Amino acid sequence: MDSLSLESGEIHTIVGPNGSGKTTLMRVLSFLEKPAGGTVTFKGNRISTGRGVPQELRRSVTLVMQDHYLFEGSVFSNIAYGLRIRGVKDPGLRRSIDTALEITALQGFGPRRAGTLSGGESKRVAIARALVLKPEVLLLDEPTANIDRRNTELIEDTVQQLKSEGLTVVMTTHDFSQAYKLGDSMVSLVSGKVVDVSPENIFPCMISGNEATIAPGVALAVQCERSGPAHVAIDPRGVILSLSELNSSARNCLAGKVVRISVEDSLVKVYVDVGTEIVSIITEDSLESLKLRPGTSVYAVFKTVSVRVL
Amino acid sequence: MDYILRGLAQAFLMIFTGDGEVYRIAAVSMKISAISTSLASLAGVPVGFYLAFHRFRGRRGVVTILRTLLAMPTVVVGLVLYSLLSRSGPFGALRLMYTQTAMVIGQFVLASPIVTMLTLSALAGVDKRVRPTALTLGASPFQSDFAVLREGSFALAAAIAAGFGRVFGEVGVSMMLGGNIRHYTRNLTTGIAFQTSRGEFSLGLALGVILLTVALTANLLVRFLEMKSSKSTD
Repeated sequence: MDSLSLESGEIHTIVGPNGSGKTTLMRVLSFLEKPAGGTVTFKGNRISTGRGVPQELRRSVTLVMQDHYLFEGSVFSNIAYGLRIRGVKDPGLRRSIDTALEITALQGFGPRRAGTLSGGESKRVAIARALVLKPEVLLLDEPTANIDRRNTELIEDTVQQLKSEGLTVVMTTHDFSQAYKLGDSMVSLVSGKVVDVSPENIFPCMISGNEATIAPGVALAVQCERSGPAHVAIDPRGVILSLSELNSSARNCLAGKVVRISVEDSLVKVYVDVGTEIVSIITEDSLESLKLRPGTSVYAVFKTVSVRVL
Repeated sequence: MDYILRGLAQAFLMIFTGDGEVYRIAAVSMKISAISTSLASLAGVPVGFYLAFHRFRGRRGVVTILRTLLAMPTVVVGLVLYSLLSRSGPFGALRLMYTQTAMVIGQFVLASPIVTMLTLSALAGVDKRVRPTALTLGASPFQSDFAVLREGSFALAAAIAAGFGRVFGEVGVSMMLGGNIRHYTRNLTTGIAFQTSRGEFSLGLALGVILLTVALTANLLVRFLEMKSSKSTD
């Protein structure tokens, strides 16, 4: 990426398909890995110079990994780990841990063995373990991946609570709705690059001639000189929905069915299954006039220039 | 058969009545093996740790040497050390032959490769996420190493128990370097060999029962710790 700047005190969401580099980016931001090139600057300090990161800076940033690990022992001892290595003792230790358990809705979980927790409970303990350290920056790598609905809501509530405390949160997610709901800013990542396109409608594809195949039987007309594997982005605002097949200058006309509809800030997102899910952003008036509902058969129509090869 | 049963009966009588000779010999075994295992752990655990997490030129050679030492017969280790420590040897002036110190040195040489190799294997099996998790929670590199050791503690304890088991029951080193001196370097294994050769079958059996009990306990402890270790990584 050319550059990526994250302001303090905000919740930043990073979205992108699998393999886009989200986890690698989080590891770089948490100083676990050096970037392949370029530098990381944190609070005015250039970090990626090959020298050891000063402990004070390292302790300002905490990462909760997607595939997190809880140490052997109890929930209490897990959450206490970071405090103990910082020399925090009772009664301050216990008070901090109780607060962290409360924030993550884990009251009473202290004595439970880490190995007896469900996936969602375990993730909340990992978040509590990070929060108790009061980092300046909290990095969350897919915090709600493979978590049930109830635990997802609890984690989302926790993240929203953190914003009011002035914490800087950087969070990766696959879920665009979650990214829009929680984030003050959103960054789209594709193949390790920041892209300035809407994160919906980014598809891996195979380009051959002037066609990009994004799913079995779903090929888009594109303007592109190269061939082989790539990613394409379709501007959701450029996708027109029609109840009948249009005879127009638009080269892409895909038949499908409306899967779901969401309304956010008077913008309507219509998710259409054309063999893969494509998002179209329309107005509420258009929604009403077309009488679109889940199950309605529609055509998703867009011009070649609405398809950008990344 | 009567001979064996009579001998066993007398052996248990000696054990349960606290026969001085039996317990003095047992105490020598426990002392020598405990000291040598402790020293082997102090040396073997850090070396095993280094081998588990560092790649360097010659590492494979080091591991091969350690594996070879694991399989070395105890009497050969005794022979090599005898040649070094005897009066005519390069360290003869230290006058260590036929002392408990010489036995400790010999058992240290026996136990160290086991402790080192089992430590290497134990730590290589610790979840790879432990270290980055500790680091991202603010641990220093040293503290993150300690976190790895702690997560592998059951397996490490099994490594140390295995080292103890190997030396507690060995006779080659003890005989060649200790000389089986009564009330000094006579331990359970040399005692069994000696007493049996003198026809003191009951005493030999009593020593054997104690040796077997301790060896069995050490093995059961190793199994238990290995099971705890594998459960904790599930």
